[in-house]
Amino acid sequence: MDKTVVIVDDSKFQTMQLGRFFADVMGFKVAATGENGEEAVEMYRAHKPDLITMDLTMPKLDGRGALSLIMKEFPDARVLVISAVKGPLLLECLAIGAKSYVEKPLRFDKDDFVRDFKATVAEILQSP
Amino acid sequence: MKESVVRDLIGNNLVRLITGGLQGVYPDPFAGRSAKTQGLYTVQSPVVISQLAMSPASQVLSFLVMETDSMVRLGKRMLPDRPREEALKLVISANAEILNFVSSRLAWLLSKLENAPNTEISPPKVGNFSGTQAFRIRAEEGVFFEFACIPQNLAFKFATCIQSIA
Repeated sequence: MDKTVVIVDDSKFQTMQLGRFFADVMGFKVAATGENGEEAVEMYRAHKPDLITMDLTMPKLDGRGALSLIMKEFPDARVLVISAVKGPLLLECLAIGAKSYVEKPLRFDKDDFVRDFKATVAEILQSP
Repeated sequence: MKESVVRDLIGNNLVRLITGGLQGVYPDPFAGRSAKTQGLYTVQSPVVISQLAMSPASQVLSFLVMETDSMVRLGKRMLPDRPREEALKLVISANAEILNFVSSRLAWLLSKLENAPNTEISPPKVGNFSGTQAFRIRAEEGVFFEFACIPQNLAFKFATCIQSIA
């Protein structure tokens, strides 16, 4: 059965780009896409996906807040943070329970980026 | 921290940052150049994307303005299978992504410059800045650039306003 992913980013362009990549290149089923942290939590509850990707700078509830709520309710959740943010916030997210982090911009036009991205996702899916 | 120090830091890094953001979104090579301004610089367009980066000592408000013609052309080229309006919305979203990348990096630069780990950025916002809603920046408080991709007839403006927080 296909692995499922929920993609959360306040940029519709970014969710489209990620959705295409997960579906066409990685063979995932995109269960849902969201635009803010509140939707991330709702969508995680509704779909319990194999993976959720989380932007950090978002309206209503930011990615860090959504990550905290998801990890509290679903300690085994596999959350991949995808953000342009640099600095201590990333370490905080990893401490809260995010499995890994991918830095924007997403260079799906570059082979080495695609290779690393796939490897990161594979590693997360293998985690307990 | 003197505003001029922050402005020089941003001015010296902005083209590189914007180019980095562009590469994740558009396949076209844009070239940037400083837009010299005296007096007031006016941000004025029906579609302006803005975003705030803040440290305890400074705030940096940035604007990305792409004229509708360029957005329509980009939408047609990048998303030919989508209806015009939807393609336009996706181009605006792509531009917001570029601004978000730049603001994130500016926040990080501020944190390094001011040794302040708790910098913040707001989500990018899309607003109508036409007519009386135009936003004016004093030239000495801002950094202004114009970007163009001549072969595809695409262009946008990028303005950043830097202020110290008393």
